[in-house]
Amino acid sequence: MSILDEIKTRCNVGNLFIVEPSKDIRAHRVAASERRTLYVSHEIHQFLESDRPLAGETQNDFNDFILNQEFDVALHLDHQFCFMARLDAPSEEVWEIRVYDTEPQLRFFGRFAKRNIFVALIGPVPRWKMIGRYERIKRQCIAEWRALFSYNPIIKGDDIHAYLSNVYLV
Amino acid sequence: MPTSPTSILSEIEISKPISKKTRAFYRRRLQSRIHRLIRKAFREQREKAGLTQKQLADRIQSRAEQINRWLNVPSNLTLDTISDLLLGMAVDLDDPSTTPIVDLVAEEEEQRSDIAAQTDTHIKDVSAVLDGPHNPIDVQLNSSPKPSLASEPLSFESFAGHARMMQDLQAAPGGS
Repeated sequence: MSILDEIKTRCNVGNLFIVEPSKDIRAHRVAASERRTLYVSHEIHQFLESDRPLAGETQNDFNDFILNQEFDVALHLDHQFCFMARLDAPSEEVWEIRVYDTEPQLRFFGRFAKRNIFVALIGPVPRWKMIGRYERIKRQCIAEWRALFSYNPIIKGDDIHAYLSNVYLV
Repeated sequence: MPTSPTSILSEIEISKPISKKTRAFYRRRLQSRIHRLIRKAFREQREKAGLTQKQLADRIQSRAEQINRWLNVPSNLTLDTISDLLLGMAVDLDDPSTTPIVDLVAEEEEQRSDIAAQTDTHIKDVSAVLDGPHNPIDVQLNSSPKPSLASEPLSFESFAGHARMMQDLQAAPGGS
């Protein structure tokens, strides 16, 4: 069973949900073959479907990810302004998605299943709650991944284009 | 359930207020689109004229760190800031235009029905080959009569095209 089969199984039982960019009125102009794929946990899915503050903003940022819009990405956590960053230590392959310019800023955590296929497992976490808690969140993310999948992330290293298309490394 | 373009249309067309969430989504979306435009302009000026973030900051009397933030992540820029950034890059905004959302919804629905029709045609074509009297597999086994499609075998491209259309159909809102 491949990682994609495992994801499909998890979607079928409601552990994971695929995010559709259907709220974007121009999404149909981006062909499926050009898109990235984003799966989210039940908790994140509930947030996106809710009327909670920042759900609309987050939905847009996730849509941009799916619709292969260009964004900045960092392979280490210390870069201040980018949409995605890999947490330290890199070998653990836990990444964060940052929702900027909102009050509060939000963070989502997950791992890559394949190139352009990201599974977000934890979030939304207000940025201020992250101070001094990265290790705990990272351990939680890895534990949740292991509870869902028999595979570890297969993409490793410092070639950002092995992870994502159409991004700039900062 | 994902929101479909049609539901967006109904939300906009009917006389009730547009939800706060939808307005937040579209505000953010516009911010992202403006951000991409500014970022693209900066990159072009960097390549053409060697413009740096520091030079841009000096030109519009801002801080390099602020320029870095504006260029790297979408934010709710004021019209004044957008004007300063474009002027600092020595570029001018082309006349923006608008498209009625109803037209975009119609375009999406037309595309979806086109894909469905093409997919249906491909399925019929493939079925005709597999189920018809000139099944290539039978022909290979029997060597005669000569199949009518033998000189025009279904190409890999046609199957790949079919697969892509199926992908698009499945990825389309409301797709399985």
